[in-house]
Amino acid sequence: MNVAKSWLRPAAMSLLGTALIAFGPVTASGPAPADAAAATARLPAPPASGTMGFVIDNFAQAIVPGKDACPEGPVLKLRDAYIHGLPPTERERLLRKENEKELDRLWQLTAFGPDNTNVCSQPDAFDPPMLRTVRSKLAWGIDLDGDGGKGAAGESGCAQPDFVSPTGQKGIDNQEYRALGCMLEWRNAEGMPSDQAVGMRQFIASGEWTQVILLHGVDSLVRDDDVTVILGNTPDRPIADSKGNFLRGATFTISEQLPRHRNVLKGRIVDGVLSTAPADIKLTQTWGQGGARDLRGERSLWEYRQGQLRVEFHSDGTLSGVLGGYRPIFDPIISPALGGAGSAIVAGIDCSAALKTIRKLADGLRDPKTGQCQGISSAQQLHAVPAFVNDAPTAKRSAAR
Amino acid sequence: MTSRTLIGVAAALLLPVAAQAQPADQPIPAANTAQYPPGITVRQTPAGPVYVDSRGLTLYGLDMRTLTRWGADPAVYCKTRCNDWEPVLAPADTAPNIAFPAGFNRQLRMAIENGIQLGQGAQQRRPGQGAPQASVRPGFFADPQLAPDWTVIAGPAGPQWTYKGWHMVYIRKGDAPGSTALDGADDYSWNTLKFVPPKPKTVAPPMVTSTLHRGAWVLADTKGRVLFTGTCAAACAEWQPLPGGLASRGVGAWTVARTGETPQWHRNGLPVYVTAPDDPGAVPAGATVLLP
Repeated sequence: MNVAKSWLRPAAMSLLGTALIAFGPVTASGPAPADAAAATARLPAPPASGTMGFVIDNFAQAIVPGKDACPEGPVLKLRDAYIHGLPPTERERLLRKENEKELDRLWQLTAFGPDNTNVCSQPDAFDPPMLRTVRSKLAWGIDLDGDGGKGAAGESGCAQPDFVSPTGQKGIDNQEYRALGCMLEWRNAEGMPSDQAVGMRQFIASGEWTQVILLHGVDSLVRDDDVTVILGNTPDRPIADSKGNFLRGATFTISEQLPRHRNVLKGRIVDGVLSTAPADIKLTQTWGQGGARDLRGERSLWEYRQGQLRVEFHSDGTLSGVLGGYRPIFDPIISPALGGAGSAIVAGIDCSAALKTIRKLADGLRDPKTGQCQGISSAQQLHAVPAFVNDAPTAKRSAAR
Repeated sequence: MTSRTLIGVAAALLLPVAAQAQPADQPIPAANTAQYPPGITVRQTPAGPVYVDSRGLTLYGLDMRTLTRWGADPAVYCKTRCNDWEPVLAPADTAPNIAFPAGFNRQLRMAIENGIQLGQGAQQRRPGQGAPQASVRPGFFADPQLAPDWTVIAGPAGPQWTYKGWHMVYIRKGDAPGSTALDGADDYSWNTLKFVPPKPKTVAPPMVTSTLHRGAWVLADTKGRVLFTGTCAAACAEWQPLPGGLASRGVGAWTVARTGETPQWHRNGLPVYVTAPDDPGAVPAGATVLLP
């Protein structure tokens, strides 16, 4: 048993655990050598056409479970943060049942600032304390800057300490996880699926964000130095069984009509792991139908600058791994920011504290004028099942399996 | 609140596709009037027709919807910014008749301050809906989505023209006539005011509408396929009729012919066809596009 499996064991009975185990221990960092040899030995030969298709059935933030990740506890909700900051006598008074309305009014007003601002619509207008951050050294992700764990600034980044993957790879860049990984939306009670994972699963299943992978030129699933990878969105809704599992072999067509995207990446396969060269990657991320008062809802997207895909082929025909890259620093909070005061009052999210933390830990996309990093490294865990994928109509159409 | 709830909140706060866009990545709405503010006209540019001022300088709209991150009232965004832009002002004595809607956030704060439980005293409205029309003075457009093309907002330098409710009108200082170089600048905050002719009114079957085709309005079906007619010999065997379906009565100049294999709409006695679904703008040679 390798390190990853022991990490995952506490969650094995949960949906999240099930999902993570299904992703397999390899993800971004590569399997342990002995496991790698055994796994690649079981891989089938690719189709004679060299073309393969997949539909992504899970796309969520990559979390490493464990109580040591957030030793201070989860990020406090606005209500709890307000109570936490009170003198003991006042705290005791407000927590009495008869003072509940007063407490609600007081903590809820902390979400607002002058000129009708609030912490989620105008997060830059506030200066809160930073969030509690992930203290564990372990994270899934990709060594985006290739520094092997030095945490160096690199040519276009800012120095931040790297993580080590649960399988031992050094140099993992995933500062978004460090910044937000202790939020309850990311890390539910131990053993439970995170709310983010559940919510994103729904977007994937609904056809709103559905993503597919189309591979061309695959000569071997064990080693191939030249594979074309098309990672894109499709408007076609996946077909699921009665338990919500995507059925294999369904047909999808890639669309590049906004808000959908089509990314062509250059890949190579080593020991059954497909990696792509850094490239800017964009994928659909819609929230509802779009905003009338706030157009960010129509323009939000999964944007990974210098993005890389790293996935492992499994003998059951599936893929699992990570999509990583640098996200513009506002992107991780776009959803609650669009929710405005409702996100703060109902969800208890302090977007301003989240943005401040992200900005503090930003490690990519350095602005040459200011020297400030405008991007934060990120990793999204994904799993995909075989599908028939047609390329976008504007490109050369090809049916794939 | 869980992220599921959060997603629900976010979805509930968002409205269907914005109809008043000028950014190139959004549908460009048609003009709804031929009456423009003094000095403003339409000029053809390589990028298409745009509104210009009396010097021929392209008008830009500052899309207030992109600025909510920087303040709850984007109409004052340029108070300390926008040094390279010159506002297109209305006469100084013009009373503003539009404002950026305060929306749900202000109502929520007021409800909290006053101890009102949401859903009881405070009426929840979605952003963009603004305050009830009945509560504002006549002629004031509380909902920018319902505003006419040209309104006046209280800008940092005085009453300022606003286009299609959301776009405060500016010109770029030092710009050259005909230039549209800054269209979409600053993440689509600055967009040229693109001119689309007013959509004509038509009397036609329900599945017939108008669509822009090569800069002019033509008739199309609701899937965007252009309608055309014509007489031909062998070639028109490939033409796809506009199906009459179960329609039994005509509409205006439109009638249903039942002489072919399937019912087909005719207009002014001529058979109507639709373009192919995979290329709705491709009208075959020899055909005549139907105009509204």
